[in-house]
Amino acid sequence: MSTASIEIKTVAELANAPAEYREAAEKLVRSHAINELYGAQVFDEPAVQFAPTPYWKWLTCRVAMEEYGHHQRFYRLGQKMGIPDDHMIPGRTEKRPLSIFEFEMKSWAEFCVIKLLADMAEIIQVEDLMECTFVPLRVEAAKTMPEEKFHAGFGVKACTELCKTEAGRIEVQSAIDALFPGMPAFFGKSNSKNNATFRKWGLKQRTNEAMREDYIERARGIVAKLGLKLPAAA
Amino acid sequence: MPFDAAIVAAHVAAIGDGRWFELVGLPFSDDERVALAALAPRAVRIGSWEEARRVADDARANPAYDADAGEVVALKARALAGTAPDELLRVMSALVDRGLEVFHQAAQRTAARARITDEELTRVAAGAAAEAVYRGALAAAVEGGSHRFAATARLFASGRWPLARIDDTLFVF
Repeated sequence: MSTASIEIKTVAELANAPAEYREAAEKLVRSHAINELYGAQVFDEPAVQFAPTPYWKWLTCRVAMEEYGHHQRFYRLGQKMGIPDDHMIPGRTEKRPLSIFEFEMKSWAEFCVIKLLADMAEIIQVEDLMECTFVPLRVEAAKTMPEEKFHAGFGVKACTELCKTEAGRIEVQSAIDALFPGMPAFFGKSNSKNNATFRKWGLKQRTNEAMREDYIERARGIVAKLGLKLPAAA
Repeated sequence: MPFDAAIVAAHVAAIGDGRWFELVGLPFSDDERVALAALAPRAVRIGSWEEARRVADDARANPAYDADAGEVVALKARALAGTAPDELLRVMSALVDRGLEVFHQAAQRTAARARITDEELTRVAAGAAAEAVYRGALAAAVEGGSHRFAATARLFASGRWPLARIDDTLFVF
């Protein structure tokens, strides 16, 4: 559907873009600013207490910092775009964080599975942004990607470690069973009007459905490598 | 003493002057031995990044880590007695902002000199420094600079990495 020949190279150029483009770009930046911060607050920071040794606690602490740093990147871009600060902070805006953050994390295994599966979902979203017609957003996405890949790799490594014992394998499978059914919703509704607008202007490249299908395939593959299975999606 | 935001601001300003990880693996100086004696009955020097990883991943260090985590909760409660939660978050977040790049780049630089290119291990080091600096600033702002967290943060800033306390021994890289 994307037929956009438009490319907005700077935030200053955004002022001359069509109103629909500006609003769509703001929605994307707001969403990333809110969800990167909220994810760090509800998953990464609390996970430090569950980590098995100081090594993993410090690594988790660093991951939390990096997620916070991602929020800062999108937040600063939003500020340059004129988005009010409160519109980019969870709890201060009426915009709710993604539903996946309602998952009540209770263990180290659950956190490792969040990194394994939720950060992979984030990677798919960021991959799409890396072809975005709004260049400042594309640039921030590109800066974010190496750390997102590290975080997902952290999930793979930590889950692999846990799966070396039968008890750990059961715990990881249980965490996958609990988390995964909520994951497809991460990509938004099918036939989404917002997504249609994003694609119209080349801010996104793929439909929510296409990204969701891609995600489920990648998730199935990574979970299979652990010798585990995905449950049915919700 | 009431929470003093100016002390935290001073810690934020000092992050750029720290010698983060520059002394790891080197023998202790006399001054360092004095500083370490205040933190534990016995200090053991760790000589390599590989050994540092093993010590940091030793579950016997958990009781001391958990005791420190409990102390953080107590310090935060004291800070919140006279400061609004949003304000405390704002003041303390400045430490995270300032340290985000500094600690990891310093760890990468020092590790690279030892031919270590392990992105995970340098992130662990950066996380440890960030945590220590956060705790040190919080403790100094609530209790003053003699708190053990403030002393630990000074060790980090001087170029060391206090890794773990197991029983009466503090392992320091």
